[in-house]
Amino acid sequence: MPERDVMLTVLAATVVLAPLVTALGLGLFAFLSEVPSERATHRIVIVAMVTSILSLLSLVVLVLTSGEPYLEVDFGPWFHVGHYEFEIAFLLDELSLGYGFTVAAIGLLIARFAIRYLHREEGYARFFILLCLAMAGLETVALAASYDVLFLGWEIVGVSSVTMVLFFHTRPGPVRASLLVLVSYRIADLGLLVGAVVLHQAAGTTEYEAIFEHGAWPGGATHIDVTTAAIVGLLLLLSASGKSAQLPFSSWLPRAMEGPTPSSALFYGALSIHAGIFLLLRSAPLFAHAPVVRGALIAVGGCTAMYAALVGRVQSDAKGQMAYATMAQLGVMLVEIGFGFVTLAALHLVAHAFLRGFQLLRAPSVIADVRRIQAELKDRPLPSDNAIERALPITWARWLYRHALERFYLDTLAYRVVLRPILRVSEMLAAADAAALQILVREPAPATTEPGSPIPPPAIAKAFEGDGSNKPTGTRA
Amino acid sequence: MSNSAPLWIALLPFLGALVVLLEGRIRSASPPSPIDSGETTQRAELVRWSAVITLAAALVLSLLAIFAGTLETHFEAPPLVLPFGTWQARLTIDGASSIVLPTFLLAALIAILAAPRRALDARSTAIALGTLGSGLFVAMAMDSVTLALGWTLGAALPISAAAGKRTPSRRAVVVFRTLRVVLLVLGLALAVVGAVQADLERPFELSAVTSPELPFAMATLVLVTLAALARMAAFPFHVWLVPFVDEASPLLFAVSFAANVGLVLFLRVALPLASALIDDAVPFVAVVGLVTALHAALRALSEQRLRRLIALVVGSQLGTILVGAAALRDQAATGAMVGVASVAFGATGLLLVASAVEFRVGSVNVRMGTSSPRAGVTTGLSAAMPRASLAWFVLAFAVVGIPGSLAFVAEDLVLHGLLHAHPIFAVLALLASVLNAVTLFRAGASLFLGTPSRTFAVPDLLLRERVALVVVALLLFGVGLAPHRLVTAATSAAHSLAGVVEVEHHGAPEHLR
Repeated sequence: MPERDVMLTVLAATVVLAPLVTALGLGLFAFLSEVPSERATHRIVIVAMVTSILSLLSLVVLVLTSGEPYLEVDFGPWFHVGHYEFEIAFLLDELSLGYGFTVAAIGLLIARFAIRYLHREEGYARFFILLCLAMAGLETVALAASYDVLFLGWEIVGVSSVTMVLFFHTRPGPVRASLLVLVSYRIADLGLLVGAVVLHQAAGTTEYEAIFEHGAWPGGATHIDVTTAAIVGLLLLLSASGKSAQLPFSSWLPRAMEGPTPSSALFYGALSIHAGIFLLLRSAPLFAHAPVVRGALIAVGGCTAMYAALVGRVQSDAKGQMAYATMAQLGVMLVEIGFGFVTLAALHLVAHAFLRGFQLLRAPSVIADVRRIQAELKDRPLPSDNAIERALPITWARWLYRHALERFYLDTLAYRVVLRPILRVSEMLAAADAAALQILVREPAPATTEPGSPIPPPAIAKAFEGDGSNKPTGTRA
Repeated sequence: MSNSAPLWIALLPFLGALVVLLEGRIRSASPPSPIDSGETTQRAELVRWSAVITLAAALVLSLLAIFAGTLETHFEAPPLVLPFGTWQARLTIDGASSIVLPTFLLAALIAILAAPRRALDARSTAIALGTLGSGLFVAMAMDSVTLALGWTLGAALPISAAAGKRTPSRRAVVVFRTLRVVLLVLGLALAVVGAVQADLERPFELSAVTSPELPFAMATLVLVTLAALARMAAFPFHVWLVPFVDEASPLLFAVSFAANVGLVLFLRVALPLASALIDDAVPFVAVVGLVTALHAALRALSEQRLRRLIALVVGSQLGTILVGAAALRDQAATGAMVGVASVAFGATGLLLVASAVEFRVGSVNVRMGTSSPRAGVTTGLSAAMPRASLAWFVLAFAVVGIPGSLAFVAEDLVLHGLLHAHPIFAVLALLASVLNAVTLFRAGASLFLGTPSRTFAVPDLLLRERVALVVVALLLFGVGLAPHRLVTAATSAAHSLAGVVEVEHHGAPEHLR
């Protein structure tokens, strides 16, 4: 193996393994022995993250000096059966390195911020362990050379994201919110998993290089037939919608802000939330071939942007407003990809990740900021941003206001159309089993629930129904 | 060349059971100790280590036979000439059994190592060991008599664990266990009668029993398939599962359900007959597997008792494994066999956490959607048992197939194989997996997180329990990250199965290759 290839392999592996091994090591130590001290935890984590970012920068230099538009790093098959191989490989091009660097840089900044912000918090070590796990997952998503490998990182990001929502796990709100996030993620993950397998069927591989015919991003084309491209594209859109909180999966994002500020910034402002957009950017050559998917991208993105802009205007808390603002921007990115402006969408992604990450980190200081602005303005009024509302007829404005407050009843609809029937079927099956047992033994069957207590709707239902905790206490409409 | 290694592997758990029982007799005959708690501790530890030593010996022996190749893997007893043919007890380690043996032994070993002392009374431990030994006989049997004996013992021993209890639940378990014994014994008896009628020299051999040309072959196929489905608690034979898990000790549940030999029976006896006799038989089994996977996953969504919930999720995963095995594609069959190992380890780990919690705080019910404590519902345990909480979530994610886990490898392979055979089945099997993930997460969130339902003055996991759970996690993730050896063994086993075909590499245009 040439020296450059060895170096590439070691560096690419280090980008992912440094945070991953740190997370696993710290977790194992905490489980078998005791929770490591704050100082030890953050020092180890910062070293791992600096190692990761330096490795990434070295990769950037190697790619730039190679004279080639992209390089591929092959780690060999994970497992194989017959003709099927699960190949582990990374693709180093401007998109993967750009997103990878954004992830590493913002991750490092947030880790540095959290050292002070979470000082003496009970879950200090837990936060840093999950941060490292998320970084490993996000870097895998960024550098993956195939949909198979991307899925590995995708799932790790999902698990760390759900677990991070549970940071304040003694409160009921985060517990319900985490379940909602998990349900949304798992349903959306089906899209990526099935999409990857359909690609295996259609193209015999999920490697970008083969599917997009060795074209450097954002170029490249595919000879996959239009129907398959459309099916795969729609499945990928489903998956991206789940991860990036686009309709119909938009409910989880505001509720996921239950975690500490650094985790909100990391997952729901800056990085994890953009993973869906990254997936779509990576798959852009596939969409060029499937106008149906491009139409769906524009429709989903446009509707989400409108929905989020309207609902966001009636939120009274800073984090809630930022959640909807993020959702709206991501919707715009979907529209950009749908129209084929992928470079613009990529730039939009990076700029938005840094801006929103910064805004969320500043969120705890927003009241102080407003007071300072008011002090500066003295007697002058605050600039108004409700020109659009004033331009609308009053009946329209009231209608929009009421529906925006109720998030356009999407949560209720999801509960009534999807979740409640599933839960009812589940309860009916339990009753049928109990009846079958009763017939068999001719005596009362063991109770499924506590005697005298009705089966309450599980947290999924509760979370979808909403408990009022996310409703605004004041309005600006 | 014959070697006694397979016989010893299956006999060692029985030997362990005997030692444990004898030791229990001697102890109970001796005068009571003035310090009762010390006496109980000592007794439990003696039971534990007697069982551990015999299981470790069986495990080492099986690993030597499988990997080192230093031992021949066939055992043949002296032939017994009967009026209607010759019977020779035969055991072998091949294909599926090479995966099942170390997996089941390891799972049992871990379960015993971590079991709370109060759960380790001589009688129930001996029964669990005997049940395990019976399962090993079934996994290695190459003749119908040994198979039927192992099968019958494996069904009868757990019944004797609750001897004296006459609860409705127990009656249901007895009915279904009797049914599965009757089904298999009748099926094998018909096959032997057919072989005798056909004048075969060795009518008891499994190779003779699985011959499709014999009379009664179809009846044998139906009966054996039903017996295997009943063993796996497949729909509609699932009714015994909930009452069983209510009464069985975690150890017994681990060795008799999580470590399930129903699949081995299906692969070894039913599949050769099915692939030769009728084309539609295998899709029928796949449908049953799929219905089982979805039914159990849906049913678990509204289950509030922790043990039942784990049992239902395990049942659902066994259903998915059945779908993979019945798809008759090498990838799916390989995934099914890897899945057997994943389910055995994962279920053992989850049961260990559940039993650790139950032995500290009593029977556990889970419920979500409320912040206020309600009677019978345990919430907020993570404050008292943070390590148990961590172990639950790690194992739950491993069981539902987070990347890097063994379950992911199994699921990926089953999915790829299924998409070639029955694409809709693949999507529905994935749905079951999604539901199982939600169920396990919901259970963990309800039990460990939220406001504590009361003050829990209980210790967290002991070092022994922690080490056992780390071993389970290492098996799930270690073998998951480096699955080459296991997948190779499973592939070779899959290729040796009747009717299983290699998935063609198709669909890729030339320019994409």
